Amino acid sequence: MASSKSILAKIFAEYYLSGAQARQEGRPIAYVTAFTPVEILRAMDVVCLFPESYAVVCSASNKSQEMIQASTMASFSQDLCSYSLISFGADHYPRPPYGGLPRPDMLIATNNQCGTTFLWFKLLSQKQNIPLFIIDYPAANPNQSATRPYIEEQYKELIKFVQKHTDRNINTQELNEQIICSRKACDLWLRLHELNKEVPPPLTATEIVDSLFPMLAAKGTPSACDFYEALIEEKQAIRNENSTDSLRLLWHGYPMWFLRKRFPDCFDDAFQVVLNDYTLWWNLDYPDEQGDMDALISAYSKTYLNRTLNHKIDWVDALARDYSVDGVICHANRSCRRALADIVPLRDRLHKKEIPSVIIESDMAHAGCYSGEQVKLRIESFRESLSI
Amino acid sequence: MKYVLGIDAGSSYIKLVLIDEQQKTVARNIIKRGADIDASCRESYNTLLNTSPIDKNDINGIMATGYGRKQVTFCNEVITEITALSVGGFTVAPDVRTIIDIGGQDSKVIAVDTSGKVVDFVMNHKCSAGTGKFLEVTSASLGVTIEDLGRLSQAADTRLRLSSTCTVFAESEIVSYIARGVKKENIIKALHAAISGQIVGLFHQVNSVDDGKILLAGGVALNEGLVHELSGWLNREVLVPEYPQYTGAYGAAIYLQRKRKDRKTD
Ligand code: SF4
Repeated sequence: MASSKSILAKIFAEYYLSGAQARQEGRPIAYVTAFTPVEILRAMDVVCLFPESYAVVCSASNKSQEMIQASTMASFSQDLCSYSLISFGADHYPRPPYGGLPRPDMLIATNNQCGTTFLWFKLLSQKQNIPLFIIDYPAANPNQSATRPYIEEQYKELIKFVQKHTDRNINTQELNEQIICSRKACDLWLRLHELNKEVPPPLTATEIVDSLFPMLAAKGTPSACDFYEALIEEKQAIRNENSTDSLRLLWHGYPMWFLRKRFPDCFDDAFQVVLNDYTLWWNLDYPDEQGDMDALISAYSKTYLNRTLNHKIDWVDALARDYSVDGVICHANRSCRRALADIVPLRDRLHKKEIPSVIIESDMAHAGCYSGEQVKLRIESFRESLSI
Repeated sequence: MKYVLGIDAGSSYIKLVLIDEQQKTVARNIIKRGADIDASCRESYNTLLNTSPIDKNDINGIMATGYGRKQVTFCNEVITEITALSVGGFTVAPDVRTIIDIGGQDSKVIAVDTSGKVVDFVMNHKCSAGTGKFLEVTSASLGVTIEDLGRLSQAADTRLRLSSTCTVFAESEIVSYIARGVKKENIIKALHAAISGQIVGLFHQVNSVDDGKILLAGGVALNEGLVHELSGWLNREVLVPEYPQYTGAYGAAIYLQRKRKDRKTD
């Protein structure tokens, strides 16, 4: 079996070449938001590119500040989500990483994560005159039957929209296979996280975060499954049997892409993040027993950010117990209002369960919003309060 | 007799406290921080030694805390201000459950349990609103010293509001109040209210164990006008230790002493 590292490198290269290749082969390109049902698009031979993921790459390449500054040339408020600012800034920035994303033929946005993405795509559509399709997901609730026909109708409209703009039809067998692969990748993704229930955990939080990319770029393809299978096997093989007496932490919310380790440099073997719940947002719920469209409806309407506040808090609370954490670090991410809303009630809940927590303020992609010393002071103080 | 030294290398002042084996303070010193934190701490240490009868050889441990703690080269160990303030505050008043510190650079609200252990803490957001810096900058634009703020605020006769807690915006608002001939005593009271509002915001974010007493630490606690204002905003009594500015340094010393005792009994 190929190593996880080589599979990941291949997925990365293929994704970043896919735009140029699509242009050469005359295949359509769509910009999609993180929780778009890409299976439908890929089963229609559409190449899907994720501007949010591109913003992550720009941030990890230390370009966030300059690119966000470039977005001010187009008069964007600095209070917007930094993913959108980096994306807008790329148009005004001389040498964006990988030369920027190629111009798309269509834009597909959803509101199952936030209210920013579809407005961001709407603006792109207006400015560059690119057709846009928005999928509206009502907030997820236990009785999904009421919203199911509404979402299904939109999926049918999406297929018509793509047909209209590309002359391509949906390959239902391909769609089927994509969904099966997506489901399998999600199962493997969860299994990978669950390895860290062990003491000591076999994976660092950085390793998990840096393994997220195939969940977007290669979802629904066998290569994503191959990657996670290889990674699980490698980590199981080197499992450390020596138990250490370390403090286990849950990092709630986004990592910090601009940092070399994606998290502040304050962790070590005795004080480690065993779980970042953000990466589990990609473990979507594709139910086994349902038909194809139903599986997609279930998966994409029950995204973490589309859940009720109570559901989100119950979920994180359960994770804190399942992974036997000693404390929770809550990243109050300036960019993401949807994610910010759960921090105060979550801390109240954790306090009731006697799980200590601390808030740190920053941004997931804008390095200019990160104050290293202040963040480290809060984390060091938290560590002391847990150890004494 | 053996002694332990606590150093609080704060962003505005360096504070030193020397304690004996009974946790009694035998010497203290405070100086304004210079550009070189380590040099400022050494200077303060020398002054403390020169002005007290204690022999340097009888000091068998030095613990540093505060924003510049890692720059202190002659200490044995360092701890964060959260730990130092919790230990210092709880030692001077064991019925305290919340410790508020308005520091030069950041403000903190710390909740401790009945044994003094930190159960939660919050710190101010990334700007200087609600910190000592806010008072320092705004008092300078009023042409009064920090020490005079408390006394002057007692003579206020109207409640004014500052519409912004941002230090820069507040400063320009103060300038416009002065230009309109508003009494500076009233402006000072408004400054205290602005800071208190920020602290109350932090206070409500911290998960306390119970409604035990509240202690205000830090040099700002010497400002009786601010203490009065804060107490009004919290609708609770606010205790001020005899030497509030030394709470962190005292806590650092106590912490080291306890740690050494624990090691001996192990
Ligand atoms: S970070 Fe939040 S606001 Fe920005 S795109 Fe993601 S979900 Fe939307």
